Amino acid sequence: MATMTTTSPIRNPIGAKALRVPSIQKLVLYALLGIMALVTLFPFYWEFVLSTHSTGDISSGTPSLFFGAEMLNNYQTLMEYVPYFWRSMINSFIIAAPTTLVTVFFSALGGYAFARYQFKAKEKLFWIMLATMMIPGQLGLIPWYIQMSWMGWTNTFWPFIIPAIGSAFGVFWMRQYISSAIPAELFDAARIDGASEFGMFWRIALPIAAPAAGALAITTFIGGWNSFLGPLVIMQSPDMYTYAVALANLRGVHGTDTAALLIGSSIATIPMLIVTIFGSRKIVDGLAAGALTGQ
Amino acid sequence: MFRKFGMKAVVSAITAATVLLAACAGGQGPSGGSAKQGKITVWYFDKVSMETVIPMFEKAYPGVKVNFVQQPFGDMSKKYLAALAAKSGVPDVIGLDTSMVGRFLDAGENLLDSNYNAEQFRKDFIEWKFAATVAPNGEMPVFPWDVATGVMFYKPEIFAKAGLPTDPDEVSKALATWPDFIKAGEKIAKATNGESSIIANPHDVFNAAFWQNGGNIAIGNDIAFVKEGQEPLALAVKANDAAISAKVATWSERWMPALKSGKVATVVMGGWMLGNFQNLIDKDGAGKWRMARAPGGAFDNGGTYLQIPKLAKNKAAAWEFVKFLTTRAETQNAVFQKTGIVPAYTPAWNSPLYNEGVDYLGGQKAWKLLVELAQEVKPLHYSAVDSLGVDLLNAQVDAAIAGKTTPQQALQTAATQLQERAARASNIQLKLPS
Amino acid sequence: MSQVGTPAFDGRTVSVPRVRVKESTRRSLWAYLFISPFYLSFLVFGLFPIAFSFYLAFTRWTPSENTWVGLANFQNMLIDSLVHKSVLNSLWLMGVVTVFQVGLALLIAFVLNAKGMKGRDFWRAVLFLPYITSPVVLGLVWGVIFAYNGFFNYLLARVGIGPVDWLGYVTGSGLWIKPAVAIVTIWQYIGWNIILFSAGLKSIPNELYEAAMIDGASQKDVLLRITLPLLKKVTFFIVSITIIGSVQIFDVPLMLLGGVAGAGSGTLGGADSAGLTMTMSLYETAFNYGQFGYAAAIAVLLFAIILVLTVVNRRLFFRESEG
Repeated sequence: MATMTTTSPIRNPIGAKALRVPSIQKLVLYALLGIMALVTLFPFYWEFVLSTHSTGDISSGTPSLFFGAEMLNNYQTLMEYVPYFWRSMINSFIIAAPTTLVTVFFSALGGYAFARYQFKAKEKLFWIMLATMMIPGQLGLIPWYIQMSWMGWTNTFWPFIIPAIGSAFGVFWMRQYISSAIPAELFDAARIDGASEFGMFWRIALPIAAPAAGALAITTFIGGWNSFLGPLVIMQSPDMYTYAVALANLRGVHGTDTAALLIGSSIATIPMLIVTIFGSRKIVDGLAAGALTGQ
Repeated sequence: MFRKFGMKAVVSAITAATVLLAACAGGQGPSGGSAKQGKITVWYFDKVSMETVIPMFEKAYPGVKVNFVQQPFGDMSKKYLAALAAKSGVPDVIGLDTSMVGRFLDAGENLLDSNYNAEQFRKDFIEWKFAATVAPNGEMPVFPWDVATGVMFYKPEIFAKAGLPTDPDEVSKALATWPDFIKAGEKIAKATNGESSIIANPHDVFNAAFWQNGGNIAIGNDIAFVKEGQEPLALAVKANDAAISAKVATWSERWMPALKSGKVATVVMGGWMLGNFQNLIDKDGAGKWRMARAPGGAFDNGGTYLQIPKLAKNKAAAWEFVKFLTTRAETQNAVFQKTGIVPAYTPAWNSPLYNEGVDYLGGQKAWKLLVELAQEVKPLHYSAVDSLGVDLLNAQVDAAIAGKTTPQQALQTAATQLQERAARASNIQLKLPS
Repeated sequence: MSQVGTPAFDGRTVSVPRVRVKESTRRSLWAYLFISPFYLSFLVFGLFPIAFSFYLAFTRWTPSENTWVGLANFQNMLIDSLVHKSVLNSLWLMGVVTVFQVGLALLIAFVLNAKGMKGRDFWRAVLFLPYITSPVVLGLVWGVIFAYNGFFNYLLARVGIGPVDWLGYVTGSGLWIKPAVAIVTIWQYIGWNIILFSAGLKSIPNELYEAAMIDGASQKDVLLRITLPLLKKVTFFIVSITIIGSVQIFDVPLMLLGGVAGAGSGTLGGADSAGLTMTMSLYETAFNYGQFGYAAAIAVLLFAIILVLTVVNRRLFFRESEG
């Protein structure tokens, strides 16, 4: 099974073509993909559609599949109940963007070190990574909050940015990619040219690992953007709420203004759509299985 | 979730007067001078009521700055739990919904202590609501705010189709009991060919009837719902057998549309549903709904209590704020006008506001009915196992309604489950009813 | 564990002749420097909440009490029927989600990777999109889709299938709750698996296929002897994270069933508690019932289950191969 790791993906930039498909079959495949795409996109489409209908009309027996005329009304309701909505969008960004940068940088740095230097931690790291994923995070909320208040970080963005340095998944992910995608010869050559250790990381490893870093960045960004429970307990004033916490204020004691909630969510989905659409195409192409052969 | 109730003219006049009055009355706080200094943080999930009362308070207490932090209803208690556990970031005042009170009985200052002396206000509050604030250990960790009297909202149009009375007083009489209600339900089902049902689902019958019996999970260390839930569950099963419900889950996405379209003809819930009708369910439905006494009588459904956490920093000012909000007719009525939250503070009811008609209900004098019913509610008690008990109970009630178990067995099962889990995980030793 | 291909250069860095002791010390200093931020942060922020949770599992920790109770919480779980139910539900979801999500993802990745398929990037981006949905929207939109008179049943009626009570509100039966939860979960995460599989397929060198074709191998042979074996490690990775993720399903049932009173209490997972997963159970136990110690014990049980599943999964994948 060692074939995989010795086959460096950059030697095969075009990609394997496993199946030869006749054109009729191809049509069927396209049709299948089309259906899949429809199924995938429909809930999104409908989120936007429903946000243009009134709460009363949403799902009234035969819910409309087409855009309605209530968008402005819903938006006004949103602004009335959650006047700090736009501020909360900015806050979500303030959490998501630095968290992404920090996670990607330090994961790449740690992953680079694990891949490049003599460590016996390969197995260990994999299990640490898996172990952190195995502990349900919800329960850690209370100890985490206690810790953050010890540090005096309540009502700040630090609790989301600084711990992002220690992403076990991130380090594992980057290590796998760097160790399999970058031939050691490259570094040897660089060293002869007098490159510094950090220089090798910065100028050789990071650019080549860009697809893996990009994939990590997308998931980190989405996670940060959607973060809810953490900001809920950490933030002490509405002007620090993230969009998810702000929208939760619409789910009131006596019912929810679903339409206002949906217009808010739709707006908040747009940045992620942009990140995903522009990000994922490039990344997928560059990303190859070498990164994923881990155990 | 409530906004204007169509009394704008009166509102602005009275609010202006109230603010003046409040400003003059500012010195009434019994505690020392320090009470009027500093900053307090208030957590609550309803924005309108707080934004009404806080400017009034700050005017009356110029030395106190109120930092109101709106909290998501469903998640506020998690945030509060975290803050309590960390002993950090705890507010000075928190408004707790009925469903949250049991969880935080230990967290609040005992308002019966001499520095608060809340006992002095007992006479001014509706008896059951004030009594409900006293925990099993004799302390008073929360202060009463409003009454959330349960009523029956109904659609006269559908009642007329089935040959039922449509006038609120007559409906109250004709549907005075749950058996009356079930019979009326059969008439509606027949007259509309099953197009309309009298109630959304049988579980709603259980809830209302259970609350009418007090709706207690535990009173002290005694599990109370087996006894209080027996007859309600029998009624719910009967309602299910009689096929009078639309089988629409309350609060599910189908529920509000079903109310709007007339698929469901009544809602038996707190009077605060009025705000939902106006703002969410049927904005253009003015005149289509009325309010009557619920079959089986009065009950409490929801409502808020205020707590001053033991970990609060500025307790003196917090107490001034709590008193300012809840024990003054002017403040309470200013909030009432904006939100429809009916105060538990009885002197507030002397205001002519409560004799006004409600446009949305076709001019019906609904506030009067709410106030009347508020005085008939049976005593209720909070317990640390409320949330757990309600969840266990609801699951079993559904099982009984679905015919998977007998009502008696269902209640016993829930009680045993509650007893076991409370004993082990919370060290609360509950007694099963003998 | 030695069957893992050791990165080629791991040995080479040591064997480069010019490296002297001093040089290697200097380098490992750099290495430690590069790794230290991760370790420091992980120890301080990652490990503390986990260690604290383990400690809690041996206490009765409520808002008003903090007592060491040893194994009592675990003993209690042995007789707690709700915990048993949640374990079974979570395992059911794990099995179904893993099989369908991984299987479908592999299939779609094959299709995307087939010769001459156009617009691969587009399809992959589309299929990845659900990953960005927030739980709130998930609950709202899918709640409307799965409603008794909702969109799904409308479509089913078109092909003559009677209404299915997905969320159990109408019949009081929880039969379809888990399938509904599984569908939403698969919908949300399948794109991620497709991307990983696609990357795996792409890294298989063309020469291997060409050589096989020259040898006259059938497509089936190619699939069974080249493609699938070479995908083994990617598959192992994907199956591992899918198992770990699906055993912890939480948002989906909470949002699909949550907040609905009157017919099935949302917090106990709807009718028959069919949607009560372990993570939901511990979440409600901690934050709604205030029983943090007991909730932590459920978390530890969950951790143990996942650990066993992961180890078994690893054994199954690599049993006969290289020791």
